[in-house]
Amino acid sequence: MKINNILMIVAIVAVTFALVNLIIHYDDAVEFTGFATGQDTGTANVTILSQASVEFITNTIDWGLGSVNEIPTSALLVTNGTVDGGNWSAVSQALVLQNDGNTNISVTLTSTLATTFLGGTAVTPLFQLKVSDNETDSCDSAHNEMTDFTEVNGTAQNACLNLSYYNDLDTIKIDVLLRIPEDATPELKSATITAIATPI
Amino acid sequence: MEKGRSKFILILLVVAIVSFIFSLVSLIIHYNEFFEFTGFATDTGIANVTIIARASISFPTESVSWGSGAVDSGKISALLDTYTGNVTDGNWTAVSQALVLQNDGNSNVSVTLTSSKTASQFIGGSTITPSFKLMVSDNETNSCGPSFNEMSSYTIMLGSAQDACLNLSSYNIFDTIKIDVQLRVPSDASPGIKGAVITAIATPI
Repeated sequence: MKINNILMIVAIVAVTFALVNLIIHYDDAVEFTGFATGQDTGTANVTILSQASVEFITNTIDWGLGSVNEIPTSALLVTNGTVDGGNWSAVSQALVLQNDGNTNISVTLTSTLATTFLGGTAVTPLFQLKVSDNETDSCDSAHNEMTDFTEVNGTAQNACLNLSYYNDLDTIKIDVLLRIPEDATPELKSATITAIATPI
Repeated sequence: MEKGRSKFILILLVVAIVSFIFSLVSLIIHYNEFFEFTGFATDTGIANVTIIARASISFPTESVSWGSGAVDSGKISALLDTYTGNVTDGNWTAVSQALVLQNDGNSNVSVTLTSSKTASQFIGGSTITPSFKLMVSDNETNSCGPSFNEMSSYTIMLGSAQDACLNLSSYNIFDTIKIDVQLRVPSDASPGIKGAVITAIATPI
């Protein structure tokens, strides 16, 4: 008697589960229930899933070796080709981020604080990012949250609220600005910039 | 009655198991659809810059000048001292500001000081031996700690490189030292503008 009750409960739970699943996939289920007429049709179906995907197609900026010149207290390095007050190699290529998925996305950027990345105290070190279109209207001004150089704060920061996936307008540039104090310790300095894309 | 009930439960159980298996298969088939709602993507870029070691020093205060003056009448010499800020037995203008040397590079340095002239060349005179001395002290706390300061008391300038500070920090809040100057001017030193150049040489350590 007791066994029967347990079996009954298990059966009811299983049927309920099946019923819920059937409701969720009702549309899929009915396609198996067609009836025949004098005519018939064939159907080719394909479902393309929404997929968020981003890729840095230019993924490294490297100013090489250098130091702050003797007179100024810092050097300014910008990926627009500026090296002011130092003898690093000029870089005029920004990072380039591409939406290579099939849905528009919102993009945040995360990286290291300037004090951690560069260090030094002669002046406040700076590590700033700026977003701009790499293709016309890939992230228009209404959705660009980094139209000016923005100090990296170590947390995820909104960069572009709507980066198109359409192939002709799916890339943005991320320019980088560094201010290096003259007393920053000599060594290779490296910061990783992480782009996180969320489908919108 | 009991037998009929058991049979009903058995049938129900079979139906339930078949339904459950069907649901499970359906769930597996539609697995991807559940995950399309939660997907997000990431990628990373890298910004690299290499800072090379560079020794660099400068004199933020680069000149000490007592102006014009003479040894007081009846005295054999006068003593001019930036540390005490006094002029003794002379009428020059007192100076209490030492030379200040800054490490504005990015690595700690060892500093030597070289005077372009010895005291006799710089000041001259013979009523008493002229002297030209320098003394190093912190301009910021621990910029050159006592264990590295080789000129913690007034030291005669020899006209050659002399160790001054064996470890002057590059860290901006303690990267400067004071270099006080003391002159003993004999009463018979020849009149004229007297000047000496003090050269600081920094070597990265």
